[in-house]
Amino acid sequence: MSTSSQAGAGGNKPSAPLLSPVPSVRGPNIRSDVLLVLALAALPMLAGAVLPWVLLRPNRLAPGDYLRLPPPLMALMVLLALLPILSARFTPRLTWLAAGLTVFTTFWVLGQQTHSALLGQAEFARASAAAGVWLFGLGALIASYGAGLLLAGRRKALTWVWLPAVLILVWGGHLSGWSVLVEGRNEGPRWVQELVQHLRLVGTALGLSTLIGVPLAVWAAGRERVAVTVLGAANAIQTLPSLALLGLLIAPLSALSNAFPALRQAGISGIGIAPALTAMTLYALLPILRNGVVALRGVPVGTVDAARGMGMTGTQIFWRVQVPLALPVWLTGIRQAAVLLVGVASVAALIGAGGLGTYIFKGLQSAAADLILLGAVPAALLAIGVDAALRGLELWLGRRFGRVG
Amino acid sequence: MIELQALQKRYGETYAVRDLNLVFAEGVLTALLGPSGCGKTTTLRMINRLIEPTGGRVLLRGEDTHSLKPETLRRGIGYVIQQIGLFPHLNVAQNVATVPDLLGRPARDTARRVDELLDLVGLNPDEYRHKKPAELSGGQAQRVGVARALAADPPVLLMDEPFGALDPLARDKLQDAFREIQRGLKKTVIMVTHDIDEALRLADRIALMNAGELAQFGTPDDLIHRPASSFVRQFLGEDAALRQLAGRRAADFVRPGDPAGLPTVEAHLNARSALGIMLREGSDALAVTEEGQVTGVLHWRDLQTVPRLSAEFIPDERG
Ligand SMILES: Nc1ncnc2c1ncn2[C@@H]1O[C@H](COP(=O)(O)OP(=O)(O)OP(=O)(O)O)[C@@H](O)[C@H]1O
Ligand SMILES: [Mg+2]
Repeated sequence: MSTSSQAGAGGNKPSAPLLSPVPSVRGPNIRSDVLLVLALAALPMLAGAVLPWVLLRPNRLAPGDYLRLPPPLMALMVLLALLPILSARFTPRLTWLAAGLTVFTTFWVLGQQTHSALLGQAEFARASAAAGVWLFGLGALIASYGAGLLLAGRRKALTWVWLPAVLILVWGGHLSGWSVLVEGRNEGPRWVQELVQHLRLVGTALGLSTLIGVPLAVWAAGRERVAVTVLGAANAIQTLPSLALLGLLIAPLSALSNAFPALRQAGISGIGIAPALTAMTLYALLPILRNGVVALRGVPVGTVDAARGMGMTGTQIFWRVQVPLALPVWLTGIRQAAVLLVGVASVAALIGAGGLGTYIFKGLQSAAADLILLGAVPAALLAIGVDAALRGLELWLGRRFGRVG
Repeated sequence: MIELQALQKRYGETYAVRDLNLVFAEGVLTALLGPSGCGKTTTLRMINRLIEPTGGRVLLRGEDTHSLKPETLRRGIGYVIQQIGLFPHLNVAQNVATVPDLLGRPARDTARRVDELLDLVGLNPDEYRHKKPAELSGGQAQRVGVARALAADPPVLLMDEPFGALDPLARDKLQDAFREIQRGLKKTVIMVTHDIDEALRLADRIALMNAGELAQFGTPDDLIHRPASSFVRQFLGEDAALRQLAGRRAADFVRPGDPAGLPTVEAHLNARSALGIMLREGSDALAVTEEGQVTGVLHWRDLQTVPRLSAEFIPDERG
């Protein structure tokens, strides 16, 4: 904040320091790190370029043929794989564009190849992405990450430049030959329903756990013994894998619903959603509670004491001193909870709560990779989106309340 | 102004403060002095009820503070603690405005008051108003702390080692600045310190405590020249009189007289140096000079009673 205001003041009258050459923020050390990342990104891309891109099957369950890229395109993709690292070496300012281009081209070539593979095939034929796409795409994403290291602050967002372009590709039907989207089209409104259900599960669990966790954290933070116990328990549980924990939580809950057949007969979805939400809420409670307690206890005693000495009431101290000082750390906990929930909600389908997990488990049962992706890819994107959105909120609030240090 | 009656604070079996009777007169700066753990902070915090006494009472203008709401009481009393007391998420102006805001004073008046106070404590308002505490040096932060305590113009100021965390140079400067401020404002100040020099330098009265009890209450001269016990004498040290002189300028002791033939001392030097010159030159009076001009004479016997901060203690009125 202070630097920007200084820059603003300096804009009125030219001052000597502003005219001198601006040293690069990124020193030579960071540059060599970036080159290493981009080299690591080039390897899977090179491998991906020569591996098969499309698996063509007469229907979604039958075995099929692997198709490679035609040689000229393969050569082009090899060149493209080297573009980010070459750009970082010679035109580092544009590396984000080069990396974005590799990601975009992955989708573009996938769409183009699936379409041409399906030409003249029967209606049930499926063209899926094969190893080449995955490797090239993985390398391209690593390259995007590497390019992000060359950018500072808000400009980091430029590494996502490919996302709107890819969305336009999807919108325009260029990817409509890709088996995942074919499945999506077949599922149509049901898929949208599951997505909404997924969001609803996450939103409800996050809302509930915030409603419970925030007052609980406030209560625990003020009590030494309780706080220590809460922190210990939260840290212990955090070390368990999320799936295992969800399983542990689901078992007693489903046992409960089994014990009362009347409940079960009231409708599967009703029973399915209730235990899933309970489990998810409990799970999201941990980061919110833990970060809340840590954040509130991190408020310096001297500051609170001064507030009391100034004549603030308990409520005023809470809202004017403790909350603003605790907010950044606390919000981080809520963000972690939200991202966790997007993942955990995928498992909720196991107990009939619906959501994108439905496709993942359906796909697993019938060994249909496309169905799995139909659930997994949007779930992953959702997690990234939620993370980015809440990060933005944190930054904004941090700036408003003037985070310290 | 403030009266402690049989004030007591007990933690389990041990007394942090025991049967304390004290009167803090209006407009007087009293230092609560004593070794670590003797109950200074406890006493101070019982006055604004950050600690509730287990016995006795505190009277503020004759009124038992227990009959007031703690928040109301505290908003009428300035409170300064070491560095950490500033709110790190608020800028300097917002920090200073805390109590006026709590009292619901109009924002425009408060903004003007904040500027006045920053000027008073020697910080340029335009430069410092929008800074965050993290951007301040220890000395600057403590100046803001003093400004904040004065913001609602409380008649009483409680200070707990306000200059304790500063390096000696910054501490001297801030003590001088505070002495000037207090000369003008005449607040009733109670200042906790374990620094004898600070107490001798700033305080009109010293309440020396030992193990939760009052060892002696009086002017610095009383304690130095008429110690009530061997503890008092030991605590102040045999060189207490010299330390007291070190905190005063030669100019503070000047009276009109005939400077002819006397050794000279510069007005800005401290009184201990003046004494040193007397010893070296074998003279019981010195001519005090300021920028080469003789301003008066300093007598040996005057060094035995050191002038105090408040007007009532200063021997002769000087324009
Ligand atoms: N909450 C408490 N519980 C038990 N004992 C306490 C508590 N607070 C203070 N004491 C004890 O009371 C005594 C006086 O403490 P106080 O903080 O008033 O000392 P102090 O004179 O301010 O010392 P210092 O110069 O080190 O700040 C100390 O012996 C301390 O151990
Ligand atoms: Mg103390």
